[in-house]
Amino acid sequence: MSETPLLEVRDLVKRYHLPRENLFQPAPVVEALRGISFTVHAGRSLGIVGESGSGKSTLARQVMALEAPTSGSVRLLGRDLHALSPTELIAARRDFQMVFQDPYGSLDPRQRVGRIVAEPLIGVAADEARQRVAEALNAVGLRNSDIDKYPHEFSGGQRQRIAIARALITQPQLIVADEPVSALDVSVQAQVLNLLADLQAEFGITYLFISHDLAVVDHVCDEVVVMQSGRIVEQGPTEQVLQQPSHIYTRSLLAAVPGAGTPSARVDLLPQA
Amino acid sequence: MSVPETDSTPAAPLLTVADLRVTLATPRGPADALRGVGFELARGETLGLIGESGCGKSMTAMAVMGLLPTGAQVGGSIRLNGQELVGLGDDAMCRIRGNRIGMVFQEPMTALNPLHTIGTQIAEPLLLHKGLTRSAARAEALRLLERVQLPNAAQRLDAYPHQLSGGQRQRVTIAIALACGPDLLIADEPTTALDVTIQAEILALINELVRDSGMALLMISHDLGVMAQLVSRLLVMYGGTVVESGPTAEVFAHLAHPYTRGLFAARPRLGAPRVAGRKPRLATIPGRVPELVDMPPGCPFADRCAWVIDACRAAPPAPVNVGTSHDARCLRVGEIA
Repeated sequence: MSETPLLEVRDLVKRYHLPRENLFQPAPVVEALRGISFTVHAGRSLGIVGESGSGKSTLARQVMALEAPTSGSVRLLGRDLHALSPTELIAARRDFQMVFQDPYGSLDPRQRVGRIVAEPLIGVAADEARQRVAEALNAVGLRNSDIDKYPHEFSGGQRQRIAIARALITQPQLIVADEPVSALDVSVQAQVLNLLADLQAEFGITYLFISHDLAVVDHVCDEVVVMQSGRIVEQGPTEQVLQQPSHIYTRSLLAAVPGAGTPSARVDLLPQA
Repeated sequence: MSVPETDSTPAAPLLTVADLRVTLATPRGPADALRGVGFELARGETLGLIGESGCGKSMTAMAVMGLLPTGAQVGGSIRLNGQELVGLGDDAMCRIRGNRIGMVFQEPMTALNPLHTIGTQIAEPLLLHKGLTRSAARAEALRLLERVQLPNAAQRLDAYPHQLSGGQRQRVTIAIALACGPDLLIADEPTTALDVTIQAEILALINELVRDSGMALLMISHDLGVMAQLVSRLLVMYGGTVVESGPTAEVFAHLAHPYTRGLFAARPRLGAPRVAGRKPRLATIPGRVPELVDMPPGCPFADRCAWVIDACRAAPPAPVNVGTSHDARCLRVGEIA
């Protein structure tokens, strides 16, 4: 692919200053990101894998422009998100949305689904907003009648669908999904993963998909970035990275997957429907 | 075995659970959380309970530990070393819990008290159950920390939980569970909150401890891979019943019950082939887990099953033998396999 990438992250560095421990010494500094660069093309999925503390979620916050990086740039559709003015950034946010891990913590329990899903819409008339909420709920397989319900009336998988509907409502080009299926049961996880694939096929959405589960990343992503201590240690097509890992850290991650040799996904055993 | 033999069989199993029923009080009326769960666990044996949220796997473990929510009604029998635990008073249960039964939970940060050093917390069951002196308990705590392979154990004895990483904390909770040399270790999703490489270390540790100490392991997990690695026998639970039980390898090879098949098919597989650069869609189980209050009178899986016939909805199916000590509660198991 030679066209300009949808998302281009270049030399991203993020340092956090910790509270000063001693009056006579400088405050300790954590280097959460130490020069991250990658590109994602429209309609593709990039997986970010690595262990706790490797910088996956810090990276997501920089890409979502929730925090300013210490140095480096995040360009979406050619614009540097961190160089935009606050008003420009608010307008630009319709192009990139986020889905979080915990479908219980990420939905306000005191608001109805209609209002939760409509929240990213700014300056849209009430009638049109309601219409768009209905469309978004439809796209994720929820009913129109769900619009007036509260989050507690839904199961975990359905709540994650609500969170995805909220991300979809602005018709974004990019969805950053931080461990979107980790809190879900296996059969519900399969439904949500299929939904993400359907939405990508239908709307051409690009995913930045953060997960610690290598099997899920292998399923969803075209390319993968392996992070360790704020650095990218390996990146490339998913198939290549996960089947012929060249870095020792990728190999150790793969070796640690429990029961990797167990038979699974035996679709042949299901009735032919 | 030095325990009194109350069962008729010569080598009574360590743990016998028979027709265990738990009814919870909910705002919508009584709900059957467990509907006749039965299994046996011998010394040194490893048994896994697998299933999705609400299937009753944690409820089964809580019933064995006597930690059911208030207002829960328990029926059936749970025998540990021949002693009946159902209906046992609080005092007597407290003498067993942490002593004969050790427990490891999912979240090591909430399982540990942030205000006490880990040395104190490991010594607590030793002071309570074994009547050790403080200095003897401290020495034993150090030995236990070394046994769970915590690096620099001697210096860590006076550390607080927040000074340790997640994997190190889980090693500490395992040390507490092992303190009194229990007959039975119950581990409820012990590695779900951990990174994959740390998970591998903790699973290897549990494996080694079970092998060396001869205690029995009751492992609860939703992860088929974890089960494959750790347990020799597997119970697949759905809707408060055991729908399939058998040796892990047998269950994995035959997948006799339609729910077990659905569970396997829904799991994305590392290295599964791509078609035109894309992975094929995952097979999903249609519908959703029925709520406990709305559990149908027949097979709990009937509404989501591709093989369902009218007879499935009439009464709960009885277990059908499908191999050496391998049972499945399915009327059509013969036609499916």
